[in-house]
Amino acid sequence: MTLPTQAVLRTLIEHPTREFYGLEICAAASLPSGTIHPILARLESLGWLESRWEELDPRETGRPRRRYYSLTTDGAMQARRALAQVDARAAKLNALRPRFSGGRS
Amino acid sequence: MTGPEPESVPAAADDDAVLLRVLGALRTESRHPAIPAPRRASCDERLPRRIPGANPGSHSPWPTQEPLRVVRDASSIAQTATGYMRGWRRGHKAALERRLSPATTAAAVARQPSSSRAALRRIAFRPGAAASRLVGLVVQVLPQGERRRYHEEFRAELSRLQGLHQLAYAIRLLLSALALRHALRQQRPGATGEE
Repeated sequence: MTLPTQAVLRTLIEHPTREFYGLEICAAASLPSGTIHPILARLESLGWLESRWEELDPRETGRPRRRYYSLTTDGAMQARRALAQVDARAAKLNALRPRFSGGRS
Repeated sequence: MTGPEPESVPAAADDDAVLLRVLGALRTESRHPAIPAPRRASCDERLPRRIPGANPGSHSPWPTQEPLRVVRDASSIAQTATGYMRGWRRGHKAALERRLSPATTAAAVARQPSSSRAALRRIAFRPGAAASRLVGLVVQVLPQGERRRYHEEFRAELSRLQGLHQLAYAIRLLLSALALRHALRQQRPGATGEE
């Protein structure tokens, strides 16, 4: 799992009931705008995310509708599990790092 | 003590008589073959005296027509002039907008000889338009069934940004377009964003 994907999932897990549109996710995950759509598409194809159109009339507001993303119930569980695995792996690597560098474990 | 009366000032009639005599003498002299006689002397007959407001001739151009009365009614003027003034205001506003709008200036820039510098100037002048074109390009890379959804989604996010941020957003979309296409092709069949 790439670091941007982890950042997106952590952002969404922090606010499991909230819906975000693309720019909000970028801002909350400290990622550059325009880079997360492949991640969102992949997570949506896995069923971890669901999306819906903003409920407004574009002709009245003068702007296109936003697409809001949120975690599904199953997606939230899967994401928590995946992030926990990633964290555990990172903790193991951090534990091994002093040995590689000649320090004490 | 009464001296001789000073010679009275000749009247205007006397002046005319002197003038007529002089002109008569000149006319007599003009009979000399070397001097052609004038066809018409303006002083042969006296012209009718022009009296303001009274036509001396009997040939009025509209003898039977009475002069129209000038009526200055604000409401009737407004009825006939409102459309004209509205059209004038619209035209004036359009002319001002055309003169001041960046599109006109961009069009003027576009008329310049094409070069990379001119293209960069156009992009810097209208980053939003350049970003919109890039978004259109990105959407063309995506699978057919997803284009409409992502075009609207990208445009909605683009509308939240300003200036060069729009351009940066569109460039990042362009850089990640192939990854997005790959992710969308891995989706389960029939799952599209169209509603």
